[in-house]
Amino acid sequence: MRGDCHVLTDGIYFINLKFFFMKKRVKLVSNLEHKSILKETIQSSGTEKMDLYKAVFGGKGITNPGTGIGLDNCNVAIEGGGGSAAYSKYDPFLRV
Amino acid sequence: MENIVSFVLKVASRCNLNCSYCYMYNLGDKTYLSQPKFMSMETITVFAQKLHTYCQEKKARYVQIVFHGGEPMLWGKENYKQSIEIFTTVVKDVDFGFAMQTNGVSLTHDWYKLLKELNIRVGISMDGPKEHHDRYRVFHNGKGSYEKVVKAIELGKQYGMSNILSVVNLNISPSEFYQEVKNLGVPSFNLLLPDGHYDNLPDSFEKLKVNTLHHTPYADWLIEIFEIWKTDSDRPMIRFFRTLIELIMGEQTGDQMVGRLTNGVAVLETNGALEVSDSIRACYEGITRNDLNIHTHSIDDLYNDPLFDVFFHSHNMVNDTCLTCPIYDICGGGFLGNRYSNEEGFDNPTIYCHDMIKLVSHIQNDIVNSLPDEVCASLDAKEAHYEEIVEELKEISLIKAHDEIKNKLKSFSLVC
Repeated sequence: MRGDCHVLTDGIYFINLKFFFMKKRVKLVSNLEHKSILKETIQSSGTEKMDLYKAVFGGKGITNPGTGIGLDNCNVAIEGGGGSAAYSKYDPFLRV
Repeated sequence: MENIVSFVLKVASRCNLNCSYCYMYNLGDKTYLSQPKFMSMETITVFAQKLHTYCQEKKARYVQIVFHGGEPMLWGKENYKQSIEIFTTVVKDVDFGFAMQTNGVSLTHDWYKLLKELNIRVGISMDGPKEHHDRYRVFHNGKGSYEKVVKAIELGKQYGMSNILSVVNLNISPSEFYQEVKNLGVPSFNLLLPDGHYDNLPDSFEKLKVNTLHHTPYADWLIEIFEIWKTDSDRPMIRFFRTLIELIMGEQTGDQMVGRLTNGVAVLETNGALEVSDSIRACYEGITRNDLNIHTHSIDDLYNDPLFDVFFHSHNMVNDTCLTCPIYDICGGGFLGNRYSNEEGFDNPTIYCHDMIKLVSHIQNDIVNSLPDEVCASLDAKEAHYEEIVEELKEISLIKAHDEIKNKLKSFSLVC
């Protein structure tokens, strides 16, 4: 087995440890329940303050959401090979 | 995401522009001179065959092919028709995302029609208002390319293909830059931080002040853009900001610059050489070169390249400082090339470390302040202030990177 598996295991170990030492938390959610609360709040909000975040998560305010180059991070579910498979149209090459 | 997802094809090794900051030609690497001018169809065919094998072995269902250069449009229309035909015929059961990153100066109606027909998305490099764009993005005779680029962007709007990519230039005021993009009427754009590292800093950095509390020129510029963007009800999408917002809100996303995902990007050089993402070349002459070539090796062999190993895992292979930093899950330690120093190799925080902390905390604070109090309470979400985070980083880190990781990062040091 190559080193990457080892590396990633270490990475996870570090991430878990981090929460014991960190005093500040920047990421707002760390579980699915919180994520769902956050998204629901944003999507149902009618306030101007939330307009930008509503736009980012598929609401109003974006001229042409998700269609531009480099904005193609959408998840796609496809049927194939006798079963369904999901993959992410992940675009790590940020220059486009 | 453990696969290489994005293959950047250097279909032309030369460019019809001579941009002053270009990592290909003007920032430390001259190895392009040993490349053929254009990628051959034989190389495309061999690559497609090996890509098919790779996708089957990895059970990959999606691959992004980015036509890049030099200037990819120099490759010619017929080559695009043939190569798309080869990819879609040879590589079975894979969904392709084709894209091209161009300087835009050669884009015409005919080109747009062809690119639309071949389903190739287009990104145009553009550096703001004429005065600034023309200072950097010039033809070999020194003449600016602004007029031609703007014409190409305008033309692209007719085809729904007008997306721009800009390198942050602190000499342009944020409001002037934003207005320029608004005037162009594009639906989206992306912002890149300039290439550079500790021994070759971008112009706006003062060497002795890098990563000190009050020296955050890029954060200050970006925050101003963010504030303008936030209050614009008819805003274009800015990919960099969107990604940061998504990451702060717990989404699993990212790219070469931010986030914690693997960097599934590989470059196929004009002669078929398989390498790491080419902007790493700004570190030093020949850093990305290895003996791998698609004509003699498999795509999988790239995982054995030490630089690719570090690059692929760069958001997990980071300096000790990052491991206890509250924004590590957002910035992922930053782009690998921006962490380089001749002395420590890649074992440094990014040169944009404090800028990123300031920008990310600004956005995080804005989100927290926009949410109703009861939601913040249920999420236990509180503002994380820049100064407090920087103060926290000064404390001795109790978490250390694994020796093996540290050694890999340091192995690219030029100091014996």
